This record gives sequence, C-alpha cells and structure tokens, in this order.
Amino acid sequence: MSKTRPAHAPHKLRYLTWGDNDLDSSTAMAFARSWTDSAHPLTETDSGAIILVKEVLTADKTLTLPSAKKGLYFKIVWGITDSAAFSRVIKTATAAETFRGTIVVIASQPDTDEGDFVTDQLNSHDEIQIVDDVIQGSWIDLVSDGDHWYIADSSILNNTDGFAAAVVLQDNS
Amino acid sequence: MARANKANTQSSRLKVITVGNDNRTLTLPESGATVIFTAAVATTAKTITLPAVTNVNGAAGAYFRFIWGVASDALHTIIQSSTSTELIKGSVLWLNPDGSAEAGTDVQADGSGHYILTVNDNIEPGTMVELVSDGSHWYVANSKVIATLTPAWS
Repeated sequence: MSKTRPAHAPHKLRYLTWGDNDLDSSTAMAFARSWTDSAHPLTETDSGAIILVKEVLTADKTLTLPSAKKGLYFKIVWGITDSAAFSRVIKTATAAETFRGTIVVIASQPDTDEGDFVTDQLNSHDEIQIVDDVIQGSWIDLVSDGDHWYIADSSILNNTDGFAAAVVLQDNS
Repeated sequence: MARANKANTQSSRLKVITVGNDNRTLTLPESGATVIFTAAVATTAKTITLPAVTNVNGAAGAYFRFIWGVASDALHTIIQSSTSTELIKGSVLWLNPDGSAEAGTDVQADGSGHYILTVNDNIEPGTMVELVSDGSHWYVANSKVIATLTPAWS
C-alpha cells in the first residue's frame, strides 16, 4: 500500500498580514519581526509577499513600500470585507517613485455612468488610497522596474458605485 | 521545539525586462520574465515575438507577463509567436475606458489559426497579458486589455 508522505519542504508563498496598523520603516523598531505578525514592517526583503488584509480598520493606515528596486513585487489581498469608514493607504518610499498603471474597480452596484468596470490611470501619483466598503477577494499586484512601481494587475471589489468612491489617487504627497 | 521564525536576509525579486520604443524578440532563457513597456511606441507599431517552443527541450511551462507601464495613444502593440504553427489560444478581457457604461468583453482567439495578438490603441497603462506555453502553443493565462479599440487576433 502506498503512503502519502508530507513534502519535506513544500513550496509556500511569502506571507504576512496587514492589520489595523501602519506598515512602514517607522514601525521597524516598535514591533518584532515575524512572518505572521500583523505589525511587520515592510522592507525590501519582504518582496514577494502576499500581504493579507485581515482586520477591520479603526483609523486610516498606511503601507509604505520599500525604495524601488528592479524586480521587487508585492500582492495585497483583502481577506475580509472592510466597511469601516477608513482608508488603507499604499504609498511609495519617495515622491520621485510613482505608481503607473490602472486600478480596476468592480462595483457591486454599478451605475449607468461608470458601469461594472471603472478604470483610472496613475502616472504621477505616489499614493493610492483604498477607501471603505472593500469586499473580500480584492487585490492589487505591484512590481517595480527599479524606478517606479507598476500595477501589474488589480481587482478592487467595492460596494459603492464608482471609482471615486473606492480609490483616491494622490500626487506627490 | 519549533524553530523561531526568522526574517529573510535576501529579497525575492521577479525577473523584469523593460522594453522601450523597440521591437523585441524574446528568448527561452528569458521565460518567467515580467516584461514592462516603459516607453510609448513613437513611430511604428511595436512587435514582441515569443520564443520558439515546438520540439524545444524545456519549452513546456515557458511563460511571460506583459505590462504596459505607459499609455500608447496612437500606435498598437503586436505579440506574436515565432511561427504560424505555434498558436496563441484563449481570450483576452477587453475593458474599454471610454465607454459611458464600461463593461468587460472577452475577445477570443479562434484556436485554430491565430498566432498574433494585436493590442490596439489607445492602450492605457495597466494593460496586461500573461502567456504560458505547453511546449506546442501559447495560452492566455490572465489578461486585462484597457484600450479604446478592440484587441484583435489574426
């Protein structure tokens, strides 16, 4: 009879969580580093991680990306529906490093002006605010070419009726 | 006793190839790359040619992800296989950003003769297409074509 043995070293994704807290270098001294610590400071060595949103916000919180370097990548995935009236802010390390691409918002209650799919371009923006009523299963995939960060893919599921209510883009904040 | 979690000491990075205003023929060793278009096409359409996979050892599993990082307002981008017998199969999801009521449309390859995908202008940044090969053909594994005109297969 054959046996099914557990893999000695199963392939796993890098993984960390984003709770009701900021994720940036300023928290580095305040929190212990751990793969599953919700207060994990985000660094270059975290590249490749799935950043799983698992807590409802009680205030606006910011994730600051490490300085752009060719090949760095992150995927932010909402594991919960967050209807609290606060934003998750994703920003680059400096204003010179911008986001480029398009955030695709899929509204659960589409209106006649904007439809099911709402898109907007990012060129000079260094900050993306994902506002409330984000539905579980939403995600943003980011990759850097060493100068900027590109939206490799995205799907923000939103209970409201359009892009403006779901995503706010900021320039050189 | 379980070992304590330790932080990484080296970053994990994707293989990234940036392409400006040039045509580009990709090679099999470049498989796995995220190809980012960092300059708009200026004069003529940009053509990206995939590596040959038929009867090539190690070609099964080859894959590329293409990301348009800048807008291309006037000229299109062509992604083609190396030969007409290596098809590109599947569909691309086309999102028209100019529609008054935007909707997604699946634009399907015929599965029998199409080996060229033309991403027509205006191409918006954030457009992406991901392809994977089984060693004979190429398959669309993921896509979001955000453009005014319908993408085309031939």
